[in-house]
This record gives sequence, structure tokens and C-alpha cells, in this order.
Amino acid sequence: MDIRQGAGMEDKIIKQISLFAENKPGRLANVADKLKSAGINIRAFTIAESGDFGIIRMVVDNTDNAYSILHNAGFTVSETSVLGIEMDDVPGSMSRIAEVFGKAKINIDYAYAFVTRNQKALLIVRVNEIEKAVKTLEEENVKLMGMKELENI
Amino acid sequence: MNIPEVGNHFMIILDRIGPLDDMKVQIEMNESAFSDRMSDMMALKKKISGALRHVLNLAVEVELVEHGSLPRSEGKSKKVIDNRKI
Repeated sequence: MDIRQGAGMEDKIIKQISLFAENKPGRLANVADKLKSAGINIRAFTIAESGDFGIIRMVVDNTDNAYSILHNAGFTVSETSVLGIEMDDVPGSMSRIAEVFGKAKINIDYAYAFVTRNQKALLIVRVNEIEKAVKTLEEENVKLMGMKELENI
Repeated sequence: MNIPEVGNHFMIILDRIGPLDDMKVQIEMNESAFSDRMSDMMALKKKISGALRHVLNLAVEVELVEHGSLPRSEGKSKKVIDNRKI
């Protein structure tokens, strides 16, 4: 967990839960069961797989609680700073954001997206230079979501 | 050999594939070595297998496993599973 990254930018940065899991039946069920027991709601979710293991990445409604519960249950887990970019749910929105990143030479480590209840799309990205990305996106009038806003989507 | 990312919990599995011996090392992940970026994780596997190759002069398959998934033992002898039928 890198707490220095994005310090002072809490309202523009989302904390993602990242978790190491072996690629075996029942592993996800085990994780999901822990979250269920704690009443934690998953807002966005993806798994990156690599043969023998996977990395589960998710945004939840109570990150710190989820981290403690999973950590205490013995999982290898971390909190990662990512950006939550709000887009209109129309053709071309992704293109615009990608162009902003490309022009500013900001590299995307990974990204995943979903459609929200209020007709918006949310793109979650991890970038190599998060503070530069925040600055660049704000200059381009791109809306970034913080954790509080994410609870209401 | 000193790889800080590798803790005390590992298992060496020996097999014989055809005429050749095969060695696999299972290593438990810990939070200090874990990264949410797949490229970092692949680099970690490569670093460990490279270090083992350097010391042993053998190609060793490295498998990262979950914390707590390997049997706990006190002696070094229990860190090796030999499946070879010689």
C-alpha cells in the first residue's frame, strides 16, 4: 500500500482493493463470502489472470473495512490508488479520455469500466503517474470521482 | 541466495518427466511482495527463477501460491516433495 501516492487528493482518487488468488475453484467464493458476511457491497470488479494465479481488483463501498477483513482472513491484499473517471454513456467518451492520456504521455497500467445507474459510465484506471493524470484530466474538464461519490452511483 | 520477497514458506516439488528430472518451487505470496500490476508479479517470478537458475544451474518453474496454503513444518526435509519413481 503506497500511502504517499496521491496524498491530499482524496476526493479525486479511488482506493481499490487488490487481492492475490490462486487459480483454483472456490477461491473467489471464499473472498466473496468474507465480503458478504461483513455487508460490503462490490461496486466494480475484475480479475486479471495469469495461469496459476490471478489478481482480483475491486472497488467496494467500504475499502478500509474490506481490507481489514480480507487481511485478517489471511488473504494477500493491498489498497491501490486508482482514478474513477466519469464519462457520458455515449459513443466517443472512451476515445476522448484515451486521447487525453495519449497526448499527455500518461501510461495506463490497467483499466476496467462499467455503466452506472445514472446513465453515466465509470472508467477505473491505474496509471503510472497519478498526480500528473489528475492534473491533466482536470485541465481537460474531465470529472473524477472520489470515494464518497462512488457510494452513490 | 537472498531474495527478500521470498519468505520462509516454500515447497520444492521434484518430478521425473521422461528421462529428465523436473523441479518446481511453490512460494507463498506475502503482502510486501504483492503488486496489483501483473507485470510486477511476472517480474517477481522471473527474478526468483533467475536467481535459482544462477545458483543451481537448473531451470526451475516458480509457482506463486496463497499465503498459508503450504504445510507448515520445522525441518528442511519437509520442504521437499519427491514424486520421482526411480
